[in-house]
Amino acid sequence: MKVSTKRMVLGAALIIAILALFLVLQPDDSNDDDTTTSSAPAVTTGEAGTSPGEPAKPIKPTPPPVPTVTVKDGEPEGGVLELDLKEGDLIRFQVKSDVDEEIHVHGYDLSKDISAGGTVTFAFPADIGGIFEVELENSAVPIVSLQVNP
Amino acid sequence: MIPFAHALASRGDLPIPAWLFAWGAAIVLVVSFFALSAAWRQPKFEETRWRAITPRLSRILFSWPVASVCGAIGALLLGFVVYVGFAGTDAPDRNFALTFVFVTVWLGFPVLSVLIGDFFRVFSPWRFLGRVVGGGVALLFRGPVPHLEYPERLGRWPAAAGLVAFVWLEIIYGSIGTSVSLSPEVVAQATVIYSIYTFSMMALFGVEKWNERGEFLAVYFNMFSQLSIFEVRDRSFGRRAPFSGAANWAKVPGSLGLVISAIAVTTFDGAQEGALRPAIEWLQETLGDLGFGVTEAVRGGDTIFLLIVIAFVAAIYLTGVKGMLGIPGAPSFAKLRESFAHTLVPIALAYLVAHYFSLFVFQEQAQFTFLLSDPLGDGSNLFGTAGTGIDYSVIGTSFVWYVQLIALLAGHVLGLVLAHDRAVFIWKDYRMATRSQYWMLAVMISFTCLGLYLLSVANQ
Repeated sequence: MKVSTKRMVLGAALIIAILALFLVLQPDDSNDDDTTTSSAPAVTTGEAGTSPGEPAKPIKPTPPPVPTVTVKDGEPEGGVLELDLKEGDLIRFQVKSDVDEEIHVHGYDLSKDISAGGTVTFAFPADIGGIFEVELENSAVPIVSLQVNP
Repeated sequence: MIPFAHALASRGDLPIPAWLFAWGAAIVLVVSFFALSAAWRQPKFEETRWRAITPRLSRILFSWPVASVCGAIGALLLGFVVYVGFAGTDAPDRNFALTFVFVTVWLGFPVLSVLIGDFFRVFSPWRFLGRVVGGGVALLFRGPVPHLEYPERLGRWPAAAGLVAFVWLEIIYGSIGTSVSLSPEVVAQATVIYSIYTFSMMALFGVEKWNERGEFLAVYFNMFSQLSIFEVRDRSFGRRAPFSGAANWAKVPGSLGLVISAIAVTTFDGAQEGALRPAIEWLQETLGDLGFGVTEAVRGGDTIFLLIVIAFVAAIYLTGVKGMLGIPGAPSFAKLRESFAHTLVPIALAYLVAHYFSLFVFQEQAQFTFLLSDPLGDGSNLFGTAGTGIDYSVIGTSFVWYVQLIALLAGHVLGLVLAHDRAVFIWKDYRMATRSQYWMLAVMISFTCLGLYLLSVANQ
């Protein structure tokens, strides 16, 4: 009786261990796929510029428009701006405000002052995963939500 | 809006992705069927089999000078929380009191209780001060003063009520208008009010009695210490067979209420960040349209949903009990309900770890750096760590997912183990015991998958 229960506990532990191992392996695969697909175009465009053998792609490297949130009467127009990014990306966004405020990016702990009628641009690498809020520090009103995925 | 967590740690957990959710659910099913197919036929954990270890260490640890020092530390910390709450900064994240009460104590002590046993008994400021005053009064009257008889039917119900009230204060009362967190001053006020209430009850019913039944922190941490292999008996430190402590815990009335509340408050906190958020916001807007002020509408909507979640969690468990009632040889519903209550303690622990692990890791960095050196948030630097902040990159987002998943799975397995053991104790016929366990299996799968689901839609 005692031996069989021990064996059972061991069996259960083994199953968990095996499945846990599977789990650990699983995201590595998907991660690798993701990183190769996302980094591939960057590499090819870089080579296209240097090696003349490759047919140059007609796409110009124009950066996408910077996401902008406009603060009107102390509130973000159209609600909180949601940005969904991957770790390693460059986080860029612009804030326009009609009030004097301090803009605080939580987690990354970056702050910039903005004066009424002014525009402030943030650009920093997304090196911490998770969900972060960007707030108007004095009124504690959230204006941007950053989601940085692995 | 995520009121409490955001006032402190500034990094929110990413929702568990679909593939991990699927894996988690699959493992739960595999483990569960394994548990059904190969299990023991004689109860193993009903007898505690406690034996003393390190008697010499026990003699020092439980001598009155050491106990007094421990109690005094607790009392000083209680006083400090009140002082810092009143005198310190209004910013919740820069004030020692909030992080200490709601993260270090509330989230850290349950885990520590599982690891080393019911240590809070020795450090409880209320028990210590109550004993000191009680001793003084006894000296004055030359003999112990008689107390009222504690109504045993009340059991642990006062603690269950205290737990719900505490969490209500933490995550519901804090939302005032657009402000997102409890102010340190309110924490200090609440601590003072709770202390007065606790001392009054101790004066009425006796210090030890109230500490075991009504003082919700002591009762809550003691609940988790039932999972520990360490237990103190007669001032002697000892070891017991794993899981055997929990077997007798739920015999006191109200224990089921306590563990259900513990699961429900974490469920509510998780659900309000994702699954229930649209529904809660709808109710709050409706209440606002009915003419309630913003604060009343927000608190009212949250409170109604907290009660709904408590009822929902209770319903999951009671449905399982109702099902077991149909198995030939089952005892009464009340007896059955009490008999399996302790199997939910691992679930409560799993929920706590899964939901708050990252918050704890981030906020404890603050606790031991800037909050330690600058508890009032007034610019002092006692230990030279005031300039150090929280490093949000210490744990990766996928690491958090695995901790959450493993916590839920471990709670699931532990709950099943305890339930199976109790079943073979109640039903001498092994076939009937197994049949009863289909129901508990359904209960545990429901709780584990609910936990996984909440994590998969959190913060979205």
